[in-house]
Amino acid sequence: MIEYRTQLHKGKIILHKGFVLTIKILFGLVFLLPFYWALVTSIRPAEDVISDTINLIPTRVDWSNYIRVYTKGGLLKAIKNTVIMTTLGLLLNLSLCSLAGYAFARMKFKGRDVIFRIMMLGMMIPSIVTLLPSLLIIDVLNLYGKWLGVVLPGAAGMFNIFFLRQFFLTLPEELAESARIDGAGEFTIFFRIYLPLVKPALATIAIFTFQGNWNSFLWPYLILPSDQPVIATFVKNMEATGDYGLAMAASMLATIPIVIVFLLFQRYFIKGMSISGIKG
Amino acid sequence: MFKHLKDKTRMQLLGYLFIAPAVIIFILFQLSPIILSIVLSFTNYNGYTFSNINWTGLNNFKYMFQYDEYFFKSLKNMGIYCFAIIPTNIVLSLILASLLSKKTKSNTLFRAIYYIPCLTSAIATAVVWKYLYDPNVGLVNRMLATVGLDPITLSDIGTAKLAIIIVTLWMGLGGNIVMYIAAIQNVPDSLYEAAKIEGANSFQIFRKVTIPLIRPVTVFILTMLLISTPQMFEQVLILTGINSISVDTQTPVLMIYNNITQTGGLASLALVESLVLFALIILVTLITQRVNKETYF
Repeated sequence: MIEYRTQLHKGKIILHKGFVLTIKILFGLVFLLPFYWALVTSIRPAEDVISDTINLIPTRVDWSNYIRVYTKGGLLKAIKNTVIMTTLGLLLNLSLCSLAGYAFARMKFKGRDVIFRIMMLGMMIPSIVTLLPSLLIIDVLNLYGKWLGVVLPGAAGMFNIFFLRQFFLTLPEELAESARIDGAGEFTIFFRIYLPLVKPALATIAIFTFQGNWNSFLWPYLILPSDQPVIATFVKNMEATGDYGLAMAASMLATIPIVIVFLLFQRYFIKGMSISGIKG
Repeated sequence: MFKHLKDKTRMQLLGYLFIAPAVIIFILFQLSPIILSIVLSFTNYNGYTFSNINWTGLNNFKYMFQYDEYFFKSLKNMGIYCFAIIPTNIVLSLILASLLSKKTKSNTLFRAIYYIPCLTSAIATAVVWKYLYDPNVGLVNRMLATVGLDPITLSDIGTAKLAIIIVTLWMGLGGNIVMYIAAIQNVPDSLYEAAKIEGANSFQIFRKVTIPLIRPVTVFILTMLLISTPQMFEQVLILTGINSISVDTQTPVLMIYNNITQTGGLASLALVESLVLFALIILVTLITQRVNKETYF
């Protein structure tokens, strides 16, 4: 009797596990299939794209969509522009946000916490509200069509400052005190002692900033001249041709780099998301 | 630097120096734009020059309330999107996270797969989905057709909103799933064990132990969704931005964008519209915070 019961129980557990696994796989397919289908479409010859049957596995690989995307022009420019924009955005955010995050966490000056709170409130402002006046300010500063105009508004992301401040707060203050006694200056203390200790946090904001810049669409579209696309505007242009082969190839070119970065630095992505939930 | 000054003053100055770049950027691109938005909304600013600018008092606001029916339509659309997306997002993220909360190799893989849609640009995502929704060659509609269901198309009032909601959920779940997984893993094991000894089954444990304990994360996710969902833009721009039913699907941000970028658009009206949107977002955020404080005490 007891044996029968445990067997029944085991059976239930296996059934339950099977059910859970099925749901997990089902949702996995929901999340992956669109990418997979876009990828498969992008390496299909045009006549297969509009064929009547669903062929989930491509019968032949054909790069003509990618070649056509390339010959349409603008692709290399878009990649180059996106790389420049992303690199500048990364460098500026890493340096400016770690300076500010450190000061807000560990340096004592009048009005520190008030300034910090006001800046944090800025995170609530929808970007569309500041869009038109920001364009006006870019105009006044004479930054239209310039790289500084593209990257400056996002050069010190509030979230990055908040995130780094939280990290600096967890580090003991005694490190600075003993260094001061040894005669170290504030810059040395920041660069030599504290900054190396927040490397994981820097990695996390680096990948989120990379992602944000790589995907950014509206601002570079408005600031750069129309013959200077970034990858997101390029994808939109390819979509506007109405040719699915071109659109999918361009989408894949925009997607693959960020997925590779994710697979390489997954740990930091996941950590960053987890921490913002728990500490937020 | 500042070596000749007293230590305390030096420290103060260095503090200001460290935050100076971030503060200047904040003043230039957050604070002054907000002030400018408010000031210019009382003028006939055209978005290009200041040469013929005049105070027009409340004219823009009056115009919006009297004639801007498309904007109110877009606010209604936004409300529908929020009601459909926010609860579904939270419930689905929570369920999927609870399925992936055990630290196993396969769960790590699934977590990565679920997160991938969050990575790509909304533009590229929407472009892919526009293809999936194609009435003739789209994968979604072919699959629906094989099981005998009606197609989801972007040019049909009945299904276009649903199409946009699905895409927004698809790209919005991953991050919240990851946050929920971390929160569930943070719940101390001892609490689960105590509940088990009391004879609670796994569903009861989930409802009575897990959900109350991860509440702060739920509030955080809710707040973020209440700020981000009303700002839906890129996917709507690509999916139904310029088709015959765009009025029935467009969001306030898309309307404001059109008013700013299109020739013949009204810049001053765009300012008023964006301020109304901002006020709504602040109101909802404040209410959420109020409500949640009350339930805490």
